[in-house]
Amino acid sequence: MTVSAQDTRTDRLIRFVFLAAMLIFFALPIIYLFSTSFKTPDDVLQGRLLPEAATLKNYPNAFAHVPVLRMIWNSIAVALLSGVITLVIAVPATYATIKLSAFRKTVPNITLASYAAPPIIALIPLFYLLQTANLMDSVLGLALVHGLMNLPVAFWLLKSFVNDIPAEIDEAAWIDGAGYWHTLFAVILPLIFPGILATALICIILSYNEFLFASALTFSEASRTITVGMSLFQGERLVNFGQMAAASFTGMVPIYLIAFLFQKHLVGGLTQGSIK
Amino acid sequence: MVSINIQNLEKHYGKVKALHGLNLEIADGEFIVLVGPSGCGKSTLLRCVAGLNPISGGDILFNGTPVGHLPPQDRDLSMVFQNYALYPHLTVAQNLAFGLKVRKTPAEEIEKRVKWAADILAITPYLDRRPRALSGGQRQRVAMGRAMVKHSNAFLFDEPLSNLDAQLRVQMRKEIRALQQRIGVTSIYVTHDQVEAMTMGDRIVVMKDGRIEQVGSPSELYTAPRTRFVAGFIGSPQMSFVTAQADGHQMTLSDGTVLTSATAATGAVTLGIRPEHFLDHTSEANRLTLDVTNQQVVGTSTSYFANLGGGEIEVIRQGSDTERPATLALGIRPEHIMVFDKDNKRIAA
Repeated sequence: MTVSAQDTRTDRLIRFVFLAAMLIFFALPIIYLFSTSFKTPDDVLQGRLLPEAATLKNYPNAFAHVPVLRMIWNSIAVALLSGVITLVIAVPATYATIKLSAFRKTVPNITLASYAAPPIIALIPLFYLLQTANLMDSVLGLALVHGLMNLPVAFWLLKSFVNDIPAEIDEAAWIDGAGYWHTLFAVILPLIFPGILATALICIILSYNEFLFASALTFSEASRTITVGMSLFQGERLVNFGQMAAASFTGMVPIYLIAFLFQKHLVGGLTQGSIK
Repeated sequence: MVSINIQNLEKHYGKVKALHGLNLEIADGEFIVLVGPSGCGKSTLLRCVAGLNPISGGDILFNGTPVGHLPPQDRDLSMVFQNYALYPHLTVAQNLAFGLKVRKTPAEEIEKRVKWAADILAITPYLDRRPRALSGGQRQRVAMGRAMVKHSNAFLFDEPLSNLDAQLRVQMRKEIRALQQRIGVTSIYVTHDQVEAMTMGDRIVVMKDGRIEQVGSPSELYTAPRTRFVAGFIGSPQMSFVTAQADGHQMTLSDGTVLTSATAATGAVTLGIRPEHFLDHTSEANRLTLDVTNQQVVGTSTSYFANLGGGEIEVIRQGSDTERPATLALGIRPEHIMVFDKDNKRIAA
């Protein structure tokens, strides 16, 4: 056996052990959640990984206790709508800031600062704004808040994609007679489409998982999202972990499906600009 | 097609002045080359004409109409960029048609013009390909085609050949010049390569530090440079310079060598001699025997380097001389010795 072959085998073993450890680390909570969704309250108290006597009752009970499917639907609607709102604002804003140098020095800093600030600061103003706009307790109102909330993330993700397009491409379009909007739609959008897709996915996931604004700005079945729904399983003295796990697992499915189906674009979006 | 008149053009970047009140008149159909070292302002000037860089002062006139305030979209120009700037997501045909579609040209006319340009540039077989599937030379042709189809006011070229290999560059140089003459469009061509400038331009504008040093035909700049900078920049290989003390037509170098120039001067001067103007020893008024310090063979010619008057001079000879001679016997005609004063201005003969 050659030295290099031995090295390769050792390398492979190290890689396997490392990846197995990472897989266990990340998969364990999901496995535990899945297992808990089949546990009786007694089993939950035992704290074992697998249920002693598995039950399927948690699922119908959870669905009966809280309108889980309706809430998942609300979450999906809010997430998709907010994703659209974010992109409609973020794409032209990023283009104008990066390529047309509109407030190029201030906008990136302001967006970063606004994202770094604790979101609770905005809660009361947003509450009154939505009330005034008659959008309180509505899917549209929450989507608007999430859409605006995710703007800084979208800006910073799109920025690297827009930056990667050589300035001469824009300039060639301008010389060809295309206005700034025409250039954005006919030249830039097709070129940064992978970035737009990745940004949309990330914003949708962020919106789907958001709790603070959803809990404060929605309170009826018609608009409450699944993250708020989870908290309804928590009684004053007792938490029904089995039902909560069943609802959590069901609520996780759409977002995991999105992440699974578009993981290539997600990784592309998050690593853009990191390697030249 | 237009005449372009640049009047007192200024461009500042904050406190830094990139262009210092430039004046230049470009005739309709003229091919003008802006040449100079990096940072001399040639690309900035071109971008100001294109409208890509807003101007800080003065104006630009197309056929007498001020356009300095217009955005690039409204100047009706064509531009070929250094990296071609083709639209990567569009096919060659779509790249050519883009500008025409923006201007809402009828589809039949677009098709006709795309075919016309593709035929001239021999890119018809590639019309359905995307730019990434083309070689550098083919991309260059597509960029040219995109400029041609628009029938615009003028062509602007921003170092369009610098990404090509030497052989292709020579070929494209000829093709661009031939095309420009065929279409008769006013063209401004930016390059840092003086050979490109000499072989392509009707007139050359030599720039330095944001100022125009001299404007003239290639032969004018070669035979009658106004400054030492122009003399050194135009001509390949570069002109050699040595300092001297002038007394009328007699120039005494620091090593005591006395040369006779057709130009009369007094005091400290710089002499400029082109490498190709060192001739055979016997027949000339100025005779020198110099020790050869270095030698470079460039196929059809050989460059010899030798010390003269405390400076290094270059001498060029036809043919490839593989053996380095110890000395060179040279002669220089008095009219081939250019004389520059202490302000680096050439003293007329």
